[in-house]
Amino acid sequence: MMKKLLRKPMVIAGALFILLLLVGSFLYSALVEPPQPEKMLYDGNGDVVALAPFPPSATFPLGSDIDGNNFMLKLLEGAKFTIGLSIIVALGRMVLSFIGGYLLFLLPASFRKFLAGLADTFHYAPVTIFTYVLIAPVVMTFSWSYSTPTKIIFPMLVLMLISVPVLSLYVQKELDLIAQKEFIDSAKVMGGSHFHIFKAHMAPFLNPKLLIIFIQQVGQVLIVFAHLGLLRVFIGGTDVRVLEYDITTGEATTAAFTMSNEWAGLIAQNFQYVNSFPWMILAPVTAFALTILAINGIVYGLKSGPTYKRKRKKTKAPNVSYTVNAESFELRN
Amino acid sequence: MARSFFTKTALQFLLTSIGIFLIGSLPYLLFNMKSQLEVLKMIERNELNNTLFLSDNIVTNVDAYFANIIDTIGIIFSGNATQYYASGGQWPLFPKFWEAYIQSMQYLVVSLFVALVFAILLTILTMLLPSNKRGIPKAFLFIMESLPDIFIILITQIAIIWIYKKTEILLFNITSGFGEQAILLPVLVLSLLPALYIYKYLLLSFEDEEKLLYVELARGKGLNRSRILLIHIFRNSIFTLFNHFKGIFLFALANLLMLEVIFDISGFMTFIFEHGVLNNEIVTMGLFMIFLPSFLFFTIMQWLLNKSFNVMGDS
Repeated sequence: MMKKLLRKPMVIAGALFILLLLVGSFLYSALVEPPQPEKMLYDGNGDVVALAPFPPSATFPLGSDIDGNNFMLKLLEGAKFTIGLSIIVALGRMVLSFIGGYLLFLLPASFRKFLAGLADTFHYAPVTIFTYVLIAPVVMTFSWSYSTPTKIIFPMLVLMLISVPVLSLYVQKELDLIAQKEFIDSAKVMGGSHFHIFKAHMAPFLNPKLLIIFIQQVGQVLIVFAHLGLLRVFIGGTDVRVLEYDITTGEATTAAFTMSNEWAGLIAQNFQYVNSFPWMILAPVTAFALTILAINGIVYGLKSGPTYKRKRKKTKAPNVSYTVNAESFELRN
Repeated sequence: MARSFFTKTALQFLLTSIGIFLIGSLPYLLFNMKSQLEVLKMIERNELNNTLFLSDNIVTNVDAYFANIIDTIGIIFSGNATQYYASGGQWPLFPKFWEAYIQSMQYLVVSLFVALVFAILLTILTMLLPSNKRGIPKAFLFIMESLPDIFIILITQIAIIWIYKKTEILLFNITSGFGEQAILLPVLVLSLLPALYIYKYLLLSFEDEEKLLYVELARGKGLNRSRILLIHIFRNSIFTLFNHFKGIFLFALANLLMLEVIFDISGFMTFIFEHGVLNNEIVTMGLFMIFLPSFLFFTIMQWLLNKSFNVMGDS
């Protein structure tokens, strides 16, 4: 299995990219003390050259945010939350839809058709809208009444559950396809129990497919994260900072900041600057794009057959000439 | 045969409609919507300044859920001019919602059409290449379709601003202002990604068809390449394309939402996004407004295709 995977350059490249990002992110938070942001840049004489946010330059490869923090480092720090959360959500989706798919597989066909008809609803509106309508009350609209754990866990649950119907049906279809094969019938005749048939005969066919769907789901979840970020939803927890107090009434003007530098949160937080400081939104979106590209690379590599084949050396048939004469034959009685 | 198609379609229609109602009212199942809305109204009327003492949990209000489903059904079937709640007041839903709908659907339909034309042209051009030289367009396709939609939409927008700054030529209106609508650019951007998907599926199906025996026979008979492509292979891949078209449509809808947010178009999707949370009947209505015409379209197309391909009966 490992050897086969190693022969696929796309899989290696994609996995390496994500692994490096995750490791770098963890190491960065563990080892490096974040530098104090400078709101102003000085030249050699101590004169102010620029005010934050700084555009992309040598010291700030992806520019800086409104406080003068290096965006590159912010993204690196947020990577573990974004990718980690998307892996957790995708894993949750897979486990739930596997259970759902197996249950559907055991259920009669008429009931399955009924559920498939209901699940067809998801084909007429983007998942982002459904997710938003369910998440927004907790995170934004009625945000005063829900506790912080609820605000983090509930969106994750919604993100998991929203695609379970469609995925379960997919798993059930795959199970059905495998169950139609002849060797399953033979196994049944030989007296294999339900569980044994599943474990020994169906799982080997299902597992590679589930792996591919899992990785695809990680990409899907990342896309939904990015979309939700654009819809101003913070997934990784919201940190409400007081910007200023009204002198007459004492009312506070507050703004939401992402607690964790999580990428979708960065999009949400900086979308207001899209026209004036485009790099502030382009940086997290590009981070999303690259990660999704890496994931799709892995999926593509896994789906296609082995791309790297050792070329067989063409051995020329030796030109040997034979001469056949009367002594080559011997007579037998 | 035709009857079984009809009953199947009717059943499907019924089930999906039930599904829409079930999903549209879901917030009422999970949240105490009525009390929450009361609080929100009090805050917006400045009757309530401090909300620290309020707390609530995720609940399962089965009664409120079904009551709300019945309410929503009532609202939709009575056809009364409904109102929606936003920023402290009740506003009439129509014709605002309707105008937004018409505008967004224009974008959607036009760009899907543009996407289709572009994709077919691209596929045919690619197929005219010898099979060992199709790698480059395929690699390009892979990279483009792997990028998330918001990345591509943002990049196009920023690129156009950049061109404007450098050359003072505004290629397109970037955002919709007062009275004037940005039309060309949204349509082009919206058609970009669906075009890529259609191109991908068409190319796959063309390449599958190319290996079949009838193509070999046609070649053996001496028909030229473009004729085989345009007439024979194309005709047979329409069916595959149609099967994928539902997915592409959904994908275009997701793009539409992002496009409206980024380009600041106050269209149908942003309307649902802005007001759907407080007025869940807008979500249900919006879903129906997408579902009804597209379901009609898909059903008619399916029926026509079935008729012309003679595949009625099985399944």
